[in-house]
Amino acid sequence: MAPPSRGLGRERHTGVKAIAAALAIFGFVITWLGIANSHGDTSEATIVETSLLELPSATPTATATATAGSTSSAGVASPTATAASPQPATPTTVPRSRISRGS
Amino acid sequence: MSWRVAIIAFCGLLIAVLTVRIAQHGSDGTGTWDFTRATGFVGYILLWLSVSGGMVTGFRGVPAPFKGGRWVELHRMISILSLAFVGAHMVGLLLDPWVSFSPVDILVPFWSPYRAFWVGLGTISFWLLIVVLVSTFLFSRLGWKRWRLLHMLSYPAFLMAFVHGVMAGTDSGSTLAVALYATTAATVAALSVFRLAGPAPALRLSSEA
Repeated sequence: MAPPSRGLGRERHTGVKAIAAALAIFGFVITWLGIANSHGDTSEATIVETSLLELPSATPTATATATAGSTSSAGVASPTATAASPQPATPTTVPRSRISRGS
Repeated sequence: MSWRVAIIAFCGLLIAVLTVRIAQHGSDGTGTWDFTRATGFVGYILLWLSVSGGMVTGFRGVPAPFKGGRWVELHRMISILSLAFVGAHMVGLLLDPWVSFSPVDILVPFWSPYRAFWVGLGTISFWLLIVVLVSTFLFSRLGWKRWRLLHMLSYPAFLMAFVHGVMAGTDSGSTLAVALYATTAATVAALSVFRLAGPAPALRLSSEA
């Protein structure tokens, strides 16, 4: 029986090609899952950088806390008050930080 | 079949990233960004496999499994799959809510708002890959000499993809990424040296690709 002249039957080495494509897709899925699960493993440098970025939003909280418990009316937290802030900035947005993102 | 499989794979990747983008609710989540990183890695690995496989094919006296029709077809298939993943990588950049890439930023070298030079190298690598693949399908019209000249563009394409990944990639500092880049670069460098210093390549075998 003559081989079909059109369609998939005309192709050569279809098994090898199919295996290559399947392996590529499988590798992609594994890589994607691996990257998605690695968000908790953010480097220390990124955490520090992100914390520094969030300092402006953290400072007013520290100021308010310090002011409420003192007689100062200056509205500016002293270094001691800032350092004593009970809730320092936490890098909750590390994975989505623009700093941690490249191309 | 190679193109059909690659187009199906590309469409599947598009559906995946669109689904993730819709599920992201505005700018929440990192799904599209993770997709972009993963497609970039896989596209680069496939390009490395394609370049390495093509170089091995050209060696004189290589064992039977690494030459002939099956190997060349596999080499071609991997190249086209690489293009599919690189295309998905670019679409992922367009869809990601955190990076503001436009189609022009992605398709025109050095036009990117972010690390223009390093991203531009990736763009050039993409276009070189297009030229190499198109030249393969125009082999009968181009003739062997022109085809071979254009096929040599796969070397700078790989080199630019490597530099793009190292300098513009988010994961370049991770151990796995460093190991990957070191392994791939060393492999291609060693094969290049062997090819330049070794016996003349089996030209007729290369012309089959």
